[in-house]
Amino acid sequence: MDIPAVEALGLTRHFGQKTAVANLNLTVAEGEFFGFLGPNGAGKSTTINMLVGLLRPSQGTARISGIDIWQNPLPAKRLLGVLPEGLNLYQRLSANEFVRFVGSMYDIPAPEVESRAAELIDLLDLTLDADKLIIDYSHGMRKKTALAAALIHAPRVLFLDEPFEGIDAITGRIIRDVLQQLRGQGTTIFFSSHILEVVERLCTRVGVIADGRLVAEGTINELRERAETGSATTLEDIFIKAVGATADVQNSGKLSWLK
Amino acid sequence: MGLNKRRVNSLWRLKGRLMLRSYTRERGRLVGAIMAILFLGPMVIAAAIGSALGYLRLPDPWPAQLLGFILVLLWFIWLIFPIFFSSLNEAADITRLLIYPLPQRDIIASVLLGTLFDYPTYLMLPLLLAVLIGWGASLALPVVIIAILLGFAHMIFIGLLVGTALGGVLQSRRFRDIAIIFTALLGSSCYFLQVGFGRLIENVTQNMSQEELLALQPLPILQWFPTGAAAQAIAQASDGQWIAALGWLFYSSLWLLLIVWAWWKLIVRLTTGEGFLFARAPRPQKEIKTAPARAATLPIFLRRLPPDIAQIMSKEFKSIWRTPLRRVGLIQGLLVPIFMGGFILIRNESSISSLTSFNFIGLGLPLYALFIYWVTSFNMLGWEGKGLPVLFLTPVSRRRIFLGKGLALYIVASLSFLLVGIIFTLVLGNWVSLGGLLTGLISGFTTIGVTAVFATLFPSPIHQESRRRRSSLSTRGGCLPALANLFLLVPLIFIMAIPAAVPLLLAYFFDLPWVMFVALPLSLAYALPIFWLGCRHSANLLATREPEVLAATRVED
Repeated sequence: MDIPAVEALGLTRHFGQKTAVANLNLTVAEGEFFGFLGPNGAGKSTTINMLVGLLRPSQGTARISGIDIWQNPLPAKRLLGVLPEGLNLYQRLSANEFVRFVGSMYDIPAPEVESRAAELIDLLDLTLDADKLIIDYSHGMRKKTALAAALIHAPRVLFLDEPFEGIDAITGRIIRDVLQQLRGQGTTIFFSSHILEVVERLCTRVGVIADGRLVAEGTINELRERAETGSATTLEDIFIKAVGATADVQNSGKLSWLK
Repeated sequence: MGLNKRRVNSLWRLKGRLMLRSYTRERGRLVGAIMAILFLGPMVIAAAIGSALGYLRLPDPWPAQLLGFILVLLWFIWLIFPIFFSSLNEAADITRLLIYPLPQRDIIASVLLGTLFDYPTYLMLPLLLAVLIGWGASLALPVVIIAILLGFAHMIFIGLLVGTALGGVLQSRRFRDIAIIFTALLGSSCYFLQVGFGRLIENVTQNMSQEELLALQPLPILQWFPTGAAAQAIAQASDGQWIAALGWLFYSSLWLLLIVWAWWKLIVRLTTGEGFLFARAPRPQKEIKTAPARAATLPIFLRRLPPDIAQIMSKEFKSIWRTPLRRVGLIQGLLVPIFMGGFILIRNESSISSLTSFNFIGLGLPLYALFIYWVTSFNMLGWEGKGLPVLFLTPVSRRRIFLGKGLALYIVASLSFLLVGIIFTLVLGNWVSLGGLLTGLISGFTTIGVTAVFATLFPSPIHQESRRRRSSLSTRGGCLPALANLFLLVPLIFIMAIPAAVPLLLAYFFDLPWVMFVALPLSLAYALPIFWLGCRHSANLLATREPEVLAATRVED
């Protein structure tokens, strides 16, 4: 039996009185492009942070390619690439320096780091500004820098938290092409996004989280069948039904004072 | 067209709400405000009582001179205030209002009323009240009231103008970096400036005759300043010179109009992207490079080290050099002995010759070394800022992270220490200071070994773009790290360094220099394992608490 690329086993996280994620069980097979959807504050980033070892779960654990990230963090992290929501970057390094620094943390030979970094910076259209400090970058440039750093060691599992948020169409297209290429090479991608059209186009399977609970999981066709909404239904309809916001949506868009 | 009262009221209440929340959400601000009021309040009240007595009791022409001096001094304080204390809080940021259809007069009125929520306003009021008491008991009362209100408006708007201009300057990262360094260094050199100023006053009062001192009437110069003109108006009105008084009020009003106009113009320019002061010329299009970006290379002395440790050290060097607050820390460390030496020289020019006759001063060098290594290396994980999750996501051995960071910090702190230590050793020219220098360098390893453990146990957030140097010693990271750093870390650094200093102490007390030079390798043999054990223990601790360290060092935007 194949070892899943990502496993969440009863992941739970409390912040004081609030339960951000409750008993989340999830499996992503190797090579899958998994879309992780949910409304704002549903627990997507909390889940991703627990899966990659940045946030300790109150209960449960997570495995990356069979390695428990909380028991054996370093071997698990060797397999991971992460584009976190907060784009954690060393603001006083340039993209050139940052990407090379991250590359050298993965025991990649120095000439290999050099050639990969140059290629990534070129591909992500950062060449012109590669020697400027990251603190002077726009949001899109920071996102591309963080993506380059997440890719430099050719991770087996890539976590992307809202990669398309706040970036322009050209950058979005570049990132989408890179992701397609990674998918073609068998990289497992765990991807959270609000942009359902992108999820629908890229993902082989999706999971929907609402109020910290996984409320739906499967391929888009499976979800369509379960939602009993017909083949013409969009992912947006499925999503709205899954998170139980149908009534909210039906009542919205009507302002009494706008005539 | 008058003011829209409802709108002004809404704006005023908005400022009040934001101000209140800035205090409730950030306790450090509240503590700072309370401390400022408790510290400055009694001083201001004493100054107000003194100035009121001066206005009433001093012989002519001194009450008017004093009035001019105080009003101009207050104006200057408000002019300088934003340089040190503007933290760009949203309550003071009126640029956010410019997208709404609000007339300029409503915004200006709300800004003036909004000063009622600023505690510095209340620190100014006693001195203005003293003016009313000192000058108001005459027919000049209407002029006095108008002049006080004018003076008040002047102070508020000059503060706003400087604050806005500074905000414009701070839009550029390079200027912001310079401002951070300038502000921090000016703050830390206040003591030295105070000593120098005291010395200047001493010289002036000792060398000038009484007649020369009496001839130093400042009002003829101060009257040309905005609030000096208001003071002159009060003085003229109390002498019955009504026309002259109105003339000075008019002159002061023109200044106010000019300042308000400049402030508003600047806000509009900055908000509409026209640039600070002058419109930016479009930059020539850069030639597009097709070659891959320049490869970042390691300094020669790092190339023989394991690549991950070398890269961590290289990153640490860049980060220290490029982060203004970290540079400030190093410069401040260097300034301490320079200021102390300067202070001694100011007090007594012959001190330098007497210094050389005291051997024991060399014993102070290891203590100074402990200070430098502590200042440079404490809260080493907090200083990673937003980059810390990057480091924690990598599979690099945590021990190597601490080794890399520790060695880099050791080198940086040693350079600072050597700069001062070598000067002292050359000036003192005795074996004790040379021993102190070497012992100091060795004790750096024990210090960093200890600070690495504390950085893991008691980390705290550091906002690297802040204009004031905040650290684990502030309350920002909570009380525990601050208390631990002060009451546990400092004594422990000292205790752990004692064995390394034993050869120096033995040699000094028994006057046997050779003992020290023979035994110093033993000190090193003690200090290096402490450094290594500190890094190893920190790494073991970190393995069990990475998410907690991340949470403790998280910096909000």
